[in-house]
Amino acid sequence: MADDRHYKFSEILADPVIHSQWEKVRKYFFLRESTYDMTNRCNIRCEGCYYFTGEKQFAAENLNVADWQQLMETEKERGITFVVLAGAEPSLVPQLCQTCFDTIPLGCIASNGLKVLPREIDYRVHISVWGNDQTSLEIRKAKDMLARQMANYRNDPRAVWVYTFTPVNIDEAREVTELLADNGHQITFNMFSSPVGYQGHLRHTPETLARTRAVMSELLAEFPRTVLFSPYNSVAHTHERGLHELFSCSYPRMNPSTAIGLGRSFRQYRTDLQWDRDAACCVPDTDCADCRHYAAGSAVVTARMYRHATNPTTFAAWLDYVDTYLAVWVRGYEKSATLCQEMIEPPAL
Amino acid sequence: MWYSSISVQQRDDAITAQVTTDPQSPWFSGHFPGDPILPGIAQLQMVTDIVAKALVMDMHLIDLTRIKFKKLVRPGEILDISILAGNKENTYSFRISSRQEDVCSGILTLAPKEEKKLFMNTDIAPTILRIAEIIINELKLEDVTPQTFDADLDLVDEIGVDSMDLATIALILRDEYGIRIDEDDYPKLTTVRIIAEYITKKQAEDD
Repeated sequence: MADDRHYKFSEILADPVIHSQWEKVRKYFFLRESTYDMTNRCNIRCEGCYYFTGEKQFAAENLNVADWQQLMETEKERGITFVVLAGAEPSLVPQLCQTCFDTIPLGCIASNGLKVLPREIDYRVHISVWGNDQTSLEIRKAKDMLARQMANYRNDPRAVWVYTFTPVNIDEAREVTELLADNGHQITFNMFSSPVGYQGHLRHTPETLARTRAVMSELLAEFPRTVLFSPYNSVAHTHERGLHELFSCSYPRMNPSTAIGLGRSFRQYRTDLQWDRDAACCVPDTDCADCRHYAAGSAVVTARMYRHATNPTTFAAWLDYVDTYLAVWVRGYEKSATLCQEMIEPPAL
Repeated sequence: MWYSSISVQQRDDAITAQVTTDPQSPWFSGHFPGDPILPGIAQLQMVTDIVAKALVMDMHLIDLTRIKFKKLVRPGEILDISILAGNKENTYSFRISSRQEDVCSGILTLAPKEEKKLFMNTDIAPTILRIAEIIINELKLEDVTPQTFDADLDLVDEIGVDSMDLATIALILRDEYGIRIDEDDYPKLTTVRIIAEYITKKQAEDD
């Protein structure tokens, strides 16, 4: 249990294991991200898709490599060191992804994995999974998704599968994880977070959140080398209170300050290379009250270091979260052993 | 003494002086062996001494702003110093040059030495120096010391501090001064001076 004693930060860091992990993760504090919709096309159409919600899907597509090159150079100049290439399906425009990689070499591509990205684009590749292949066929209208994804990314160290828990696929996570483990792949967990106005059956309830947490915990314990997650990740993403309520989202959409951090540097570019501060967050058009998205947590929980530095247990949990974030998002970063096995309650502000 | 006055002239609020540095000064033998240069603190003390002499008062330095060091000072170099009284009491802008090249410039705040005890209670200069030291250490800044760190530099725009850096600095300050720095206050903490004032205010609230 987390204790009530008031610890100095130096006392927390006096633990050599915590200190070592702190020194490991803080080397990555230079990461400053922005995200980019690469194309308005996709080779599948999934129920509840974040891209095909709201206005961003209607932005004109800019396929001019020179324009993207210029954008990346401008982004680099203003301090962006990590790019997230998303919407709708970046693998359909590999030439643009290559241009991004050539200018800003750290980043991640969110893909459905049905079309393999050239190996030269050495970003992390997040391959989306929404259940077993039967469920994928129903929700994503694509046959044999997992089998095709694994074939495309066999022995590819860039790949990490992102399993999005919905109320209807919780029990399928084991089957998917086992299959990925058998094939030497890695997986992390995401939570379906309702788009604005969505009230369909994929919206989580307190009961499905609790069941999801239990399954995450089991899989993390049973497949520690396959599952990139931590107990504190489970807590943060399956809490009845969403990420914004727990941690005060720091993306521009919910954060008016432009003084420092994400509120200052983050932009979400659409396919026409324009961005709108009022809509800027990692997954635009998500209902902020229901947001438990893994990408959101990676920035929002990570940014709240100060409030986690209250005692060694809470700080260790935060370090686990940051370590997981880096392992999932940064090519070449090796995840460490979990420091805090307890499911601690997130600290209040 | 590591310098000798060649000339000192005072006219209204302006002082001009010319000094020469002493090659035998211990400053040079220790700073640095085989590559002697006059430390910044010695240059600032020269300016303080010249003002004190002009005012015929025993003065000491209590604050620095916008200090910039542009050229190394070697043993025996002749320096031209111009000093102008500022609008605020006991503030002086100065410029040191050598052979028409700028050596150092900035603004000093001085105080009579007999008032030192009074200033110790309200003066934020030590806090400024300590915060500067923490930032220099945490960001691994080179070519700057706490004494030469400009307390009015914008930490984000001019130093490149990000939110995680600031959170780390805030935790170290929490340890040192026993205050809580609210996460919502981070955007306000734009300069070392503002952080020092914030700490002083928080400490006063806690008392």
